[in-house]
Amino acid sequence: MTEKQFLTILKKNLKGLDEEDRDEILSDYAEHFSLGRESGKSESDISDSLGDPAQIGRNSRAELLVEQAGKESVAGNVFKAVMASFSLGFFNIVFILGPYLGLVGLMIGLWATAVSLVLSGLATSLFVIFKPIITLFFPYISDPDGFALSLAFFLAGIALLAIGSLAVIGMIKLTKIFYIGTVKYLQSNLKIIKRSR
Amino acid sequence: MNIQFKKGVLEICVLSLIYGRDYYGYELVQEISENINISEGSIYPLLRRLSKEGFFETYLKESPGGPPRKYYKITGQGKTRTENLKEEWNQFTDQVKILLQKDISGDAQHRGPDISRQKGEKS
Repeated sequence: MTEKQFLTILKKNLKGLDEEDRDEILSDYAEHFSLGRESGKSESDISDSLGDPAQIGRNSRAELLVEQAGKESVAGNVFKAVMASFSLGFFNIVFILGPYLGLVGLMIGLWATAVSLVLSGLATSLFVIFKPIITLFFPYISDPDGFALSLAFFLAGIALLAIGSLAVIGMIKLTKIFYIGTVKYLQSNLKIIKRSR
Repeated sequence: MNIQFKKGVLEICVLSLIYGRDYYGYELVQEISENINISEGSIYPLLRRLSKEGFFETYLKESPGGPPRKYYKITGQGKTRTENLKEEWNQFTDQVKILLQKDISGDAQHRGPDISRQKGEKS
């Protein structure tokens, strides 16, 4: 393999990294090639002793993305790290990725529940406040009559809103724990893979 | 030599060499691959990781008739790390040596004849 081929394959496997990180990795290997040539080695000898560029690229990429996800646990970063680790092949597609995606689905469902609690709470209490105006435009809407009933609806709305807000706060915490757990799992996998290669 | 062995000692070798003096990547890779049979490409990710963890600083230095070289220099944190790892390593290998000596000096009576015969055939 020539230097150009080696670096092209390496670059292809570093997609999704910051330009700075990618350039640093590429320049390390370019420097290695130029010094090797200086000492009289052929490009194919140099690339042979370096190893498989695709493998080097995938490993470096996964390592950097997992590290980034650990520093800044937002959905995009965690997702990228999961996918990069997946490309290394230590995610068994059925037994690990399947249940993991199930958990992701569960998180999404819980989020939807929390958000709809907030929204329905808001809707109920706002309906009571704006009832005179709403019934003006939509007279066929059956509305709770009487002050006591309106107040009850309003308070129920507020209660729903409060419960929903608590649920959202809980979900924010749970999501953070979920991200941290994911990153920890990826890190432990990377360590195993580093030791066994 | 076993691949797990090599991976494990690579970090301590890299730290220890750079502890001694500043190296540029190519030179370090040659030094290591002369003694340990390992794919050279795996040393650069290790250098990057150890730099990120704050054990090395890097600087560029012009070289006669070539592109500038990236040198690695040990930091205070790196020195502490190297010393700790070396101490652990020495303790560990001393203990392993003691255990291996026991095997040679043949206290086979503790193990029973079958096992000792199997071991003898393998080695």
